[in-house]
Amino acid sequence: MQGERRKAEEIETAEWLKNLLSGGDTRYWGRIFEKYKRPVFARCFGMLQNEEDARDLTSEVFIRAFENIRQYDLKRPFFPWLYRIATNLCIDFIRRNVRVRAAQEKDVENITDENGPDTRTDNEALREKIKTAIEKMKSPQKMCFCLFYLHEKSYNDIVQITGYTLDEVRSHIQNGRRKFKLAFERRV
Amino acid sequence: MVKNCDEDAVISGCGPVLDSLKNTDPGQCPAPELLAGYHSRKLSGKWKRQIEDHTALCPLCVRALEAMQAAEEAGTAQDGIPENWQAMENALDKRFHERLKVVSAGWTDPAGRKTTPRAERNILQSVADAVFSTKKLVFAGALASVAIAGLYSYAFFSRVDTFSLSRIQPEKITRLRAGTPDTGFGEGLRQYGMGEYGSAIHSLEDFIKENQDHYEAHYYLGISRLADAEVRLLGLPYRFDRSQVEKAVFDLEKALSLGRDNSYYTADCCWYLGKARLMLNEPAAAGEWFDRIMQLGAPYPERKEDARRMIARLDRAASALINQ
Repeated sequence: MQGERRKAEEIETAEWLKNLLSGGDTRYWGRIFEKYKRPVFARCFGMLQNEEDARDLTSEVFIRAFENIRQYDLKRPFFPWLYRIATNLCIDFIRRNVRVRAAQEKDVENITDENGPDTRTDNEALREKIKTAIEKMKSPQKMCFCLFYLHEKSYNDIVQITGYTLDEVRSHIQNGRRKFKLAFERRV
Repeated sequence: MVKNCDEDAVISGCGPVLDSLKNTDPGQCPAPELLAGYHSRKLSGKWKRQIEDHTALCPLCVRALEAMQAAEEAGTAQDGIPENWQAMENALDKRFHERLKVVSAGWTDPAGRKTTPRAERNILQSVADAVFSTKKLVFAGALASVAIAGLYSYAFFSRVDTFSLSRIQPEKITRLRAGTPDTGFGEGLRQYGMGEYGSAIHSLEDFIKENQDHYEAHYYLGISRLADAEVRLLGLPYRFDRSQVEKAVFDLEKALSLGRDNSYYTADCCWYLGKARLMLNEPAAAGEWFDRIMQLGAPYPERKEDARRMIARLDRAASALINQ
């Protein structure tokens, strides 16, 4: 019964979109907004965990979809397309937001850095060694190792983020750790 | 264990330098689609490796992956609505409509022709100006006006309606005419039978003012409105009056509530209410009316067959849409 209702809703949306595209009547887009604003908002709120950001982004999702409506394939279901746009915009938003925060933190570090130029040169050499050591790891190892040491995530967090099992994560971190030490010491 | 501690000591000694390897530029990050694909475990091979290599050193992408995970854990789309949704909804509506107004300002041309950027349109306009002289344009405009006026006149006088109402109605009209003493109502029916839907609407409206509970009058007023709402010319829609269809829905629902005991009218009202909903692009609501005909005790079999066919068509259209 629910499946049938969903089918009927899809047909209704497809009709509105056809009318919008053939007649240029933007009121049909208003109807689509009314129909899908709740689930789109829920997606944005779920990802951003902030009501105001989610509200602004929900509006942006519908505007972005409207601007790109001619790229949408009318034969495909509409909501998954809209959902993808919401997810992509949230990802972009989060990345921009984290960058701002990271830049602010960096500024604070620079202000409090009391070390001289020699230390900075040493750090540069060390940085290169570490970079090479990490680059030598295989992708899953590198991912799990960095999530654990660099991003300070727990084993369970890493399982959720990567989709690897707990045993795989444990093994990747252990092997990565060994490899890192060997590669690092060889270059010291 | 000792070995691990030793390794940990090496790594923690590298801590601040390790931190400096982190990516802080979103411009370096992979496309959001790829990250979403990684999160939904749809990537493999080269793409998966590339995402992992990048994400290992990218707190921005790690945060985005965590957010997707958090959203998934929060539940399905309908669950994640905060309690003060009502207040937020108003602000959201306002913001959306303001933005839409701005964005849709250059977006009114049918069939996608107005997506041409403004600068490009100006160039096209200049080319058109160069090719056509003003006199030629005036002549072409006059010719087009005459052609359009001709077409509209033809359509107005021919009034080809799409409902095929006359196919099923004459018999019933004759029967009712013979039986009804109401002359105003009889006049409305006569006009309806002649295809003079506009006049029929006026006559029936006047009649209803004095006889508000006359369900047949409401019924015929409803279907006259439906027939009057859409006129086709050579098979193509040339005029559609949405408000007329909405009024028809009101009349038919009134007829349905008044003539509940007459199964003939109940089935017919449901049928035309379904059709009206289709005209309003509301197939879900239309389907409910056709379903209702199927559930009726004793409607005449043709109408039940019509409803069955219509439901099958709606279902086919729905599954075609879903499968694609």
